Amino acid sequence: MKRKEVEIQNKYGLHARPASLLVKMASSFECNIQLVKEDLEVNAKSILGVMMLAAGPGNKITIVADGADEEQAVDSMAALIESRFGEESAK
Amino acid sequence: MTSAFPLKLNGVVGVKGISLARSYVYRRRLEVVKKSIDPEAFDMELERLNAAIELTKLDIQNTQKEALAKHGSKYAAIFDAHLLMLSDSQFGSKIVTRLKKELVNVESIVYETINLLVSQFMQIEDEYIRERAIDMQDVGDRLLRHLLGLEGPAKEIGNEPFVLLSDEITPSELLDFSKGPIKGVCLDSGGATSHVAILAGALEIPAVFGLVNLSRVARTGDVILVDSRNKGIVILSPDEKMISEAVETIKVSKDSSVSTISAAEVVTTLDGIVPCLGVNIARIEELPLIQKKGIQRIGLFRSEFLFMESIDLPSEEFQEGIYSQVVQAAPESAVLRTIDIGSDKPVKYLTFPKEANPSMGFRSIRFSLSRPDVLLPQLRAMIRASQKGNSKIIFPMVSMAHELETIKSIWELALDQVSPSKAPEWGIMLEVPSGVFMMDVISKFTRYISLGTNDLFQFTFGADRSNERLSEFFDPLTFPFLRMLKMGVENAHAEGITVGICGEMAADPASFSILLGLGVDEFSMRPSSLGIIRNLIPQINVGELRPAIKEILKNGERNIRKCLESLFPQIVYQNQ
Repeated sequence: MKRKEVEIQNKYGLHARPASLLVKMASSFECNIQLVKEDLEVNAKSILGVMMLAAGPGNKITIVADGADEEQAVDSMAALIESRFGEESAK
Repeated sequence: MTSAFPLKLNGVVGVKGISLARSYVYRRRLEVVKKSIDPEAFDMELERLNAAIELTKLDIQNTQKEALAKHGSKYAAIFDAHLLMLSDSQFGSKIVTRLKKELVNVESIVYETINLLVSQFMQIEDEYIRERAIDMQDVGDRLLRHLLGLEGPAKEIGNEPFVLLSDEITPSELLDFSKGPIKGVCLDSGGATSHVAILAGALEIPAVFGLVNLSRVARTGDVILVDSRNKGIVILSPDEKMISEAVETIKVSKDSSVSTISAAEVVTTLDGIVPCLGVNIARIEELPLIQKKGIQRIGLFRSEFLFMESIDLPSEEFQEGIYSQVVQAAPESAVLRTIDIGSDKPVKYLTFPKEANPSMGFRSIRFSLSRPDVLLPQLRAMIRASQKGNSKIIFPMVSMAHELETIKSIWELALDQVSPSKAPEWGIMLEVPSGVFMMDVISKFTRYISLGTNDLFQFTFGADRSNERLSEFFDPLTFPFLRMLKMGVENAHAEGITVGICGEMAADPASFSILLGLGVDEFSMRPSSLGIIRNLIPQINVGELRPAIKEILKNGERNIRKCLESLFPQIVYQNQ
């Protein structure tokens, strides 16, 4: 199992467009991937789950992957979030 | 047995006109009945669900293609989210599990699942994400429509002319319906829908609002007569006499509104004055009609529809393309207005907090000045477009002196970024009474104002124009309001400011005569009203009218329309 904490930095947080990019990426991996924010834990391959997470700018979320390609999954997803999904920054 | 029909109802006039057609009752909320099914029917229900999901997927993909062509990839991406929602494990497999367990018709499960998800989204604190409940509802509605065998809102109707009946509708739904032969709009509600009224006006569709429960009483297919020429009258299942009278009236009004003279030809008053006439438009789809009529001036282009019809902020290039078409369609002059958007005129991708008084709230220029990331690209696009013709750019709802300063600095920034070979002029819309008392300050920034009489009126009387119970307030021909306009025009002229008007008022013959007498310099109105006003002008003598109006206002006359009629019987005031 591999975990990594990242901060959401794009302007409106994980709204529809970034959430769908994230879910598409998560779905391309074999391993199970969960996203954790405070006491909420959702399946990263479900857009409804990711949107329910309601992660706004400044929120910290933890990516938890478990399976064969967990390393690659966590790194790519963290990179996508840190790239602010190609949007402008909240600041 | 005596029938309750014909049933006559009185509502509020949204758009003036008359039409007769069959009703189409549109229910925004889909109604789903829960029924149990046989265990053997399970496979069939599952198959129905899968087929509906496939069809919904196709729908979304088609919409996505359209969006991609129109707005570019960034704007089409939102439909990726829709597609993912549809194939989400929390959605589809949950429905199947429940179907197996509960053995009820699949649409009832879909319905409940969507409602549950929507209500979960609504509870999320983050406003932007909470807004996505709309997306879930959108996907859910599409899916339910396929399950219920209904097509999209507009596709159910076919080619027969119809009058749309509903409790309420959104501007985008009206746009969708306007692709078909829509002849009228009747809404049960009258609140917060004034944007629908403006849109219906732009599309030249007669509309009546505040009809309480008409859409519950009427059924699709019932004949309905809409007569909003003077009052908001709607007759459901009219008798033969009413029908034949209406048919005759419609024939006559068609003949008189089709002016054979091109609008490019000059019309002059009896004493040689040539009023400057233009039209208000909201969408580029109206441009061919304007060119056909020979109209040379667009006195107001409302840019917010462009924003309301988009699924995400329209790009600067896309905006420039639209504005360029508007500028090129109006050889004399085109006035482009920056967006008037707020919680009263919502757009999907911008969130506004709920407000107790949206029309007096954080909207229009107040919103635009708080979002230079929205305003600046719009200004740059407008400035670039204005290089292709003659145009002005106006800012709506300016009410305070400091707003003028901020506008000036943002404007200069936009000019700096574009560095055009000719800088267009900018002006403001005067729609809040405070403006009347600060013309000296305004004149330090601009020499052009456009009176937005719709808002100016409701703010002067403190009467919400979307409230059907206040309909007695809505005659602009009352002396306090006209005194205020008089003061506004005089104050403006004293400072060398040109005064235009682009409210509904300019389209009413009696009001037009008075505004002309008060010295308003430019008039802009619905394209459909231009013919009537052009017919009126050669009958007016401004020199005679001016002192008469002065006298009427001085005396505080109660029935101004009647006064005008008795003083100038040769002028036809009735034909609206």
